[in-house]
Amino acid sequence: MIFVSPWVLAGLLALPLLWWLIRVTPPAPTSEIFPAVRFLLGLNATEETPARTPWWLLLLRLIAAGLVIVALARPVLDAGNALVGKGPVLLVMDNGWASAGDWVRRKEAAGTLLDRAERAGRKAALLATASDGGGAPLAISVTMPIADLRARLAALQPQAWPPDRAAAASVLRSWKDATDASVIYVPDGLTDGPDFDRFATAMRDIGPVTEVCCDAASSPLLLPPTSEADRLVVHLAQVPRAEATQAAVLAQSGDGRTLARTDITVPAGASTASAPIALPPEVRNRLTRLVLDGPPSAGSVVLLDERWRRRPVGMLSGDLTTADTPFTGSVYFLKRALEPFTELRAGDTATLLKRDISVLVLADRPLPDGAERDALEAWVRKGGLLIRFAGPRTAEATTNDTDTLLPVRLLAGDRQLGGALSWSQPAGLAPFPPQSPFAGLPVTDEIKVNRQVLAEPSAELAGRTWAALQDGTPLVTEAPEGAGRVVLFHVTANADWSNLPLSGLFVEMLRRLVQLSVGVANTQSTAVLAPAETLDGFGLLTQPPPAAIGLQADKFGATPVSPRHPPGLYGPESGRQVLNLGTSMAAPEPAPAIAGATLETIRGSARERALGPPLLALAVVLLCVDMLVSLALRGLLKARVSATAAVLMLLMVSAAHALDTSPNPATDTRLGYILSGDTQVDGIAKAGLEGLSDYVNHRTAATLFEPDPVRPGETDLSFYPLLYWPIIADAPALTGAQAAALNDYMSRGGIVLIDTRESGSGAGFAPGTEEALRQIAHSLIVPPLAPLTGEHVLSRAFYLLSDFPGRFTGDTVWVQRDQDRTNDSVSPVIIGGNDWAAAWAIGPDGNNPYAVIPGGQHQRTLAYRFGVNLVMYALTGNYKGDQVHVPAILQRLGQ
Amino acid sequence: MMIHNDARPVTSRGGLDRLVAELDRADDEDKGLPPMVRLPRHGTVVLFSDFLSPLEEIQTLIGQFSAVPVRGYLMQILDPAETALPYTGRIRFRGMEHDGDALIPRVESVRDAYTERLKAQQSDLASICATAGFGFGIHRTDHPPEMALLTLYTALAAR
Repeated sequence: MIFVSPWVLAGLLALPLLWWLIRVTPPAPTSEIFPAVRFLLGLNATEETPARTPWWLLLLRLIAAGLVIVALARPVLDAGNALVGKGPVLLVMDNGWASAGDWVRRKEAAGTLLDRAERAGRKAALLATASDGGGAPLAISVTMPIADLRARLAALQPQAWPPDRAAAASVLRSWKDATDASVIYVPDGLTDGPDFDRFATAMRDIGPVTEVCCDAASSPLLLPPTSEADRLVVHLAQVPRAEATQAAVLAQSGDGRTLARTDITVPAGASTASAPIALPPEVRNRLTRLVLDGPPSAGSVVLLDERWRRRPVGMLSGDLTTADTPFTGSVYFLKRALEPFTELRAGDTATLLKRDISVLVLADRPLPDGAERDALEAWVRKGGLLIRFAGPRTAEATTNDTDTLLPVRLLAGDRQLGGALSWSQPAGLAPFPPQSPFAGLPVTDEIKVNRQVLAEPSAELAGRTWAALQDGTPLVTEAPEGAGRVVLFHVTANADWSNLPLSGLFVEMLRRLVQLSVGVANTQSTAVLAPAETLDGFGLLTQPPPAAIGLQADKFGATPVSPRHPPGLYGPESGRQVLNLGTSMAAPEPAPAIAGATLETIRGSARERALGPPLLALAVVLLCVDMLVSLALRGLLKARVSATAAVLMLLMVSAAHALDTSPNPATDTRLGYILSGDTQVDGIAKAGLEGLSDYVNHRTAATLFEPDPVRPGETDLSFYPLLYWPIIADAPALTGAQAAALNDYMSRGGIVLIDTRESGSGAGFAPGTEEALRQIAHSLIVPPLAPLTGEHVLSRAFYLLSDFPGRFTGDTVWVQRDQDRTNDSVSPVIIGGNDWAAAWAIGPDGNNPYAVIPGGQHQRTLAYRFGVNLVMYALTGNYKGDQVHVPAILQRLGQ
Repeated sequence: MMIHNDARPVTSRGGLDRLVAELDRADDEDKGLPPMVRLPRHGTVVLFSDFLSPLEEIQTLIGQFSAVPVRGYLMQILDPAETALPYTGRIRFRGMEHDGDALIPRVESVRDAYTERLKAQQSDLASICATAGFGFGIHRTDHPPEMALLTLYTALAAR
């Protein structure tokens, strides 16, 4: 742990002084009333009362003061050594493909070193050695405060191409702020070209170099695989290491699924290693990429295109018995030529066509009318490539002129040396015409053709010729047929008629033809292919960067990867070609450490932690504790005050109402609600009556207990002065016992408040309740009713009301019309639809959960007041109807 | 009869009640000493006070009374806190009758000096009373009043 401003720690020397001061400072004087003050005036006190601070309080204060001083000295945990130099710091980051593997750790290491520079108050600049995809040349950023540089460092990303050491070296040399600067270099461990020494020298010339040594994170490079007959061989290149390493290569298809996997072991000290992946050809054709298992980077991905696909080729011969004879059989040379790069299948036509075949080679097999030819024609139309070789049988069959599956019409007979239409000496091949797929293949003089079949001259013959002899006679012709193609070699597939099959040219020609079979663009053309999708620094396919330009199709094997030619997929959908990082890259070479550089490790640098703010927070907490303790010591934190505060807090937390409950309804007054059967309505009724009871308890002398649910016929109704009855739409009709109980209750002075909950402003809230009420009232003995007006005693039983709203308002409330002196003139039933329970209801948090409609606190207050009037009416009868109250009421109304 | 308002002397039973009611009434113009009022000659006056006022004022008053002539008795009522000064520490003493405040840093150290002053005041009072022919008594409020009253009665009866 170090201190950024250590001189502040000298303040700790003042702590004993503080102690002395606290002890010496007198406490605040207490006050006393004293009549004989006159005698005290003028007396000189010789001593001073010392502060009677308890030692632990003193210690607390000293610790708090000490913490403040230490925090102000800005301690830092896990701080590294200070960087040498005083001027600006140049951060050189290698952000090529090799740095993507542990990119986050590199940034953290750079950040830690920047922390140290920031503490020393230095500025910084950034150089990323791999140019970004924007096409701008490498440049050192402006020297800026380190806080701004951190933002730029956070936005830096690894690129999919190697760093440009030469450009970086020249940029370093021409840096203007290089006075008294020092360099922090985060390398990727590779030289990335021959210019590394110049680059290192340029850095050293600027100032002292601190190199962040990578923790043996050598980045492996996956090279393009070689395809063999039945397997794919993957190659891995990396910097030679002291011990053997294992790597896993996954072969993935286009949808990201891994189809195969192989493990490569790189021996100690070796720089390359290989391993095969065995796959059936159908699976192989689905592969789109090979990925190295591990941290993602552009060097761990190899994309595959058509060049690695295997197209099955079927072979049919005219003479099946001798077809395979070595050196003379018609199929022998074909086999030798095709086997290394395709899968060959033999069989009869039907079998061959059953499986997936791209190319079918017929060696001197004429096709007369029949099922075979129809099948083949259908197959060609669907996109197959039919390669036919001529021979004696083909030459004979042309006389019948029934073979239509030929690209051109053939003349009868053949031309042979010494024949009627003959040359005097064997003819050689002419250079291939530019539109043929063989264009670019070198033609040697050794190839001589002795005999061939001739094509009938026609207008389009020249267009259909892919290879011709030196005198212009076509040797290979072709014609498209539907989606497929028919190609005819005018010589045999063996060495009878020419020595073409003996040459290497034959293999190349066949290879080109097989590649042609699925519309693969001519890899030797000079068409420029635009980048379609490219890899970013982490090996993901993304949009091509702005600086990427197209590449000529014939240069794919030789172009090194750079910002202008990033690795990825080029060309149109149908003819994608792939440029891989490892295609033309030299083997990775380890970069030497820069001479004279201080080495830091990536792994060991934990982020520095400033302890200042936490210590200050702790000191503040201690001072708060000290204040509380001082108040307590002086007696100001009186028990009564703190108890009141605690109780207030508790009151705020808990619910406001606390209605008492008692099990026996006979001993305490309580309201009741008739269970309707609907749990929601019953809940509202309960909450409403609880709220009303609470309200009544607070404002009147009556004390109501918790309301009870009541079932007429089962519960004894005689204990309840007031029953609330919410009507629901599907309420069942009253049974005899229920009706009898209710009638009995009402005739002996009970009051039932019937609430249809749908009236006035609440129309539609509870449809069907009025109908239900009508049915229920059939069995109840309801006296004649009249609207409740302001003259009724209910409107002045406690509050003076003119309106009786509940949750809704607007509709009339019905009470008994005539005064019944036997019942103390109290109406046994009050019928309305204003949903009073919802207006009275109080939720568990103390708020009213149901809004009044049309709204306003006034309406709710009026609803509560009506409730209180009801309760008073039920408890005192028509007490307020007494004439003795009239003057007071009149006076009240007059006010 | 109370000196403060010019009420006539009464001898009825109600007089005692009126006396107590008078005592309860607090007067804003209280100067700490009873005022000089006209008294009949050869009467007896009993003064109850803490007599902490300056000695000149007391001397003037007593002189006026004794010039009438009036016989008298002075009873000084003191609080035990005033006599003993039992406080400790740093205390600000506030006067009750516009005397001001005294901030004493350490009361234990002035206790002796204060007691000296109080004793000096009391001895001066005694000498003033002796000169004027008045009696003088000191009563502490934590002692039972019977003793002081007995002394007072004896002194008054002796004249």
